[in-house]
Amino acid sequence: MFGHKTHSFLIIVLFIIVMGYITFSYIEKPKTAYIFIPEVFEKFELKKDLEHKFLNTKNVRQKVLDSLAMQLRLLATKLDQEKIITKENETLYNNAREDFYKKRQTFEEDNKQLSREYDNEILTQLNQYVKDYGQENNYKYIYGNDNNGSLMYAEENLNISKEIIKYINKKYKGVK
Amino acid sequence: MIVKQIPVFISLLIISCTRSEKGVESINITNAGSTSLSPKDYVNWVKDNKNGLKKDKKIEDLIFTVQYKPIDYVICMEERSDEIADSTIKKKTKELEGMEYIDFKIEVASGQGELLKHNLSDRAEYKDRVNYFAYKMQQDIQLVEGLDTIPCSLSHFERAYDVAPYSSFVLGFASNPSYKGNKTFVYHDQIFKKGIIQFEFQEKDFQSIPKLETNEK
Repeated sequence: MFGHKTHSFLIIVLFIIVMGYITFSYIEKPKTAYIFIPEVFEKFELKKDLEHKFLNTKNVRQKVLDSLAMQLRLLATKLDQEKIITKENETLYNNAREDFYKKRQTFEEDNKQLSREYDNEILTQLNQYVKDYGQENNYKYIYGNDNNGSLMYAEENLNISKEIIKYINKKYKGVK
Repeated sequence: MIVKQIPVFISLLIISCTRSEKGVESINITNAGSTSLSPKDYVNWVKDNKNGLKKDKKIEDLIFTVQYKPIDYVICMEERSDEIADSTIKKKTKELEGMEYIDFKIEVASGQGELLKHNLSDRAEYKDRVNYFAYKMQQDIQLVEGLDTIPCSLSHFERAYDVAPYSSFVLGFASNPSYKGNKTFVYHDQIFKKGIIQFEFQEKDFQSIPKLETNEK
């Protein structure tokens, strides 16, 4: 009889300890995860769409440059064929050459600027959607691993890159 | 033996109750397309985010909202009456058909200030923004229907001046009545640099649009 009571008491105590441990670990442990930024960035549909737009713009600019280069080559050939190079033709060639180099420099700067702008636009939406995901799923922290040493180690089961990619692409497409 | 099965039975009962609730909900949605609503209820239905014709998206300090407007909705908003004659609807529908209508709104999330002055660097930029929203913005807006990209052919900028923290745009796209799939609204933000903003309207939501109750006059 006494043995049975002790047995029951021990079970109750053990149950309280286990429940306490579960509750304590649930309350105390913040929900955290990490994402592998290069993978998420690469697979973000906005990145693909803006890359496509950027290449289109770059190609149009390149065509303008190709056309100017062609005109310059024609002028150079014409000058080469002339026995006496007139001042007028020389000025024409020099102006065309200057115009070509100016345009090339402007386009290079514009391309860099556009690329920077698009990168910022991608990061702006990416940050917002990761924040939304964190809030919707009650995360305390979502770390970003970009291979620069800011996150030295994390268990693979905390890597939510795949879930994030799926979520941010749905958000971007305006389905959610 | 029977006692042991009680929890299983209760669980099944809970699951079946949950399922039947969802079932009722889905029946309502499926049948919404065949139900008739008064102009007031119709407008409320279209404006309700849950029905998929109104969507919004917050990106940092701005909220982008789109409202797809069925022709009956446009008529209700124009007539502003809870009793619209059948003849009026027929007449107005003839005037409005051939286009798809969408309202687009950009709003400062904090609810303060004027959108056009939001994060403004100088006075010249303000003028550029007004000029862009009034005349150039429609070049950056499209409606994608399957493989077709439809340009925005009608754009009206409604300025709020200092009275509201948002600006609204009434947009129109040439409609393709034979197309029945999902439609994606696309806007590439050139002013606040938030990237490409997209909203997808789904086929099932178009099919769920109720009918508008009319008065036989």
